Amino acid sequence: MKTVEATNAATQKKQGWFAGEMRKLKKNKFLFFLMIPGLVYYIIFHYVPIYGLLIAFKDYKPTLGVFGSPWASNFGLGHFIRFIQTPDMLNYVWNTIALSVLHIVWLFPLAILLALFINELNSLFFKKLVQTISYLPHFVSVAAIAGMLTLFLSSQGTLASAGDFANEGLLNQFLLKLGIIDQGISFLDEVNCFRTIYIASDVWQGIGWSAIVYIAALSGVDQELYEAATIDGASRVQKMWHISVQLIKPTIVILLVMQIGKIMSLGSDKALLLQREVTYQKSQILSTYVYNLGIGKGEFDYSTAVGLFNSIINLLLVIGANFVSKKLTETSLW
Amino acid sequence: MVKDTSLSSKILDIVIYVSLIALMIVTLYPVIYIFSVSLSSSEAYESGQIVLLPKGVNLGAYAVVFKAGTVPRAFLNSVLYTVVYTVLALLFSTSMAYPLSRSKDRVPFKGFFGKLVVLTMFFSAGIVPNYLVVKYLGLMNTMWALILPVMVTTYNLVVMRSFFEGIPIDLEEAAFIDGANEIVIFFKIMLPLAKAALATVGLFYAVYMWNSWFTAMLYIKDSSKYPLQLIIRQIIMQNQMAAELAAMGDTSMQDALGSTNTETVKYATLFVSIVPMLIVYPFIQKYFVKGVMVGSVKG
Repeated sequence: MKTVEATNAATQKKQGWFAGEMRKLKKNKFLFFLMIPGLVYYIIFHYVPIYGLLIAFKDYKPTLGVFGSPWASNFGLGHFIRFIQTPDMLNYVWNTIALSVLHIVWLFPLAILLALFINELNSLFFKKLVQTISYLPHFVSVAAIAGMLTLFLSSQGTLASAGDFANEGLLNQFLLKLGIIDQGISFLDEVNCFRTIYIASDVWQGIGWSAIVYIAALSGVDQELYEAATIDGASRVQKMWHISVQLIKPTIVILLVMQIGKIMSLGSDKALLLQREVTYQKSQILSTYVYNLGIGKGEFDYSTAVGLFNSIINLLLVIGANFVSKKLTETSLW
Repeated sequence: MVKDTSLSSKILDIVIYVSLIALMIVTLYPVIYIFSVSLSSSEAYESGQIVLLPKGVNLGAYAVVFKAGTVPRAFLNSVLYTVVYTVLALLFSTSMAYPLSRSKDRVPFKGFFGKLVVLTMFFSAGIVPNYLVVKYLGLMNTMWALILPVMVTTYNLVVMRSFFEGIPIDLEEAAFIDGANEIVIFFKIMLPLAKAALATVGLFYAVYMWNSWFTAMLYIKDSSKYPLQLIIRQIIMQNQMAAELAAMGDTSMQDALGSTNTETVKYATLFVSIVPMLIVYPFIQKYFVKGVMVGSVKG
């Protein structure tokens, strides 16, 4: 009886909410209609695909549609079981995490260091110059960066003794001329070079851009703090550490926590462009695996299951990161 | 600021200047090198003579790039996609961001719709379900497959919304008292004030579309509809230009090829794809920095 009452109260409250919103709608149609196109977009391209996730639990037959396709084996969990039993599954997960972690480990400190260095500059012209140039690679497309890497790192395996380095990329020409290597190396075909290439180009592209937030935070620092410290006899390095770094610490913590929350959601864009079949052992991450199987081989249902598995982990990680961020800095995403 | 003249301070200055100059060189060198190779003769390239500046300057590589047809067509495709996308995305984002920025008492279903939008930031269905939606809607192999699925990005929506939230409420109240209705306020007061935000978000959208290649690879099958970024991949990573040139068997191409090989052509293609960004970048930089700040605080 009590539960019925509770439900009634809940529906009434709901009706109250709905009625209230409808009253507002009667008064104010314009603002509502302004939102309609955007909403239609969100429903079609974000919520319909979520309904489409149903195929992760089905043996998807395009002719039968999402709803009509039969359920997968093992109470619909067949695709998930297949994924967990894939021998390379842990490898793909590990590759994803390794790239994300390396990205954080390199880019994070370097961007902070760049911001600190820029903050120390007295010449306004030099400051602007460094900023303008270091932001630039952010605007170069991933496809162009992959193109550059392909050209620079390419090799036909020319021997150092040949003396003619036609068809060798920039890096190989350089290394051959200096006699560091005896034969050109096609770096993109080397399993062990993949992560280095991926991360180095990430740093090249992202260091300036990632520093923006810190530069802005530092420019807001009260100059009197530095002057007081100078009078107290603090060296510049001490001031950098005790004033600058301490002041951007909250920003660092939030961004770091959020980055860690995204550790499993590495996109497939760049990895797809840089991976070769010979480097799959290190270059196959979860998102490229989904792409290669789903779109490449047409295994829609199975790859959707893998994607869903990944999305759920991402969601949990983001919620976790947000929780931590809230505890540490009282800043949260929502 | 008090000038620090101690030795440690001088060493710090040296470290800072050396590392920042090194960073600038490392950042610019690849771009300059690409440009230099694209202008050089193939002999100079093949013998590894090019270090910084072009040797045996000629425009042969660019002649090949523009005569072969794929690159100019892809360039125009990219321009078309970017313009159409930017206009539509701005329309959709502005019209949605504005109501979401107004008071709950004025906007019907604001809380509900706001939640609907924010949820998508944390959970996405992934590429396969999205692919199927595009396929069922019959958008495959059309420009709309690239545009519609990314019509509003939540990040940009948040940037727009925070901008509208920053406009003082007094302005609206004054207008209400003067008898203006919501429509007048939106078009006559808010939109003109939002010009800077429109420029910022418009640039975000434009750069995003210009640089995107992945969705084109997913959805565009007809190579005459490829955007530029996908063509780079074809020419550089899959060596398509050589095949195309061979197939054309054009004698004028043979002449042009006399002083260039496909390697310098690849560099020229790469440079053509980067150059529009290099040209507009100095003008748009400050808008971007502004946008990043708004997004990082609120997003």
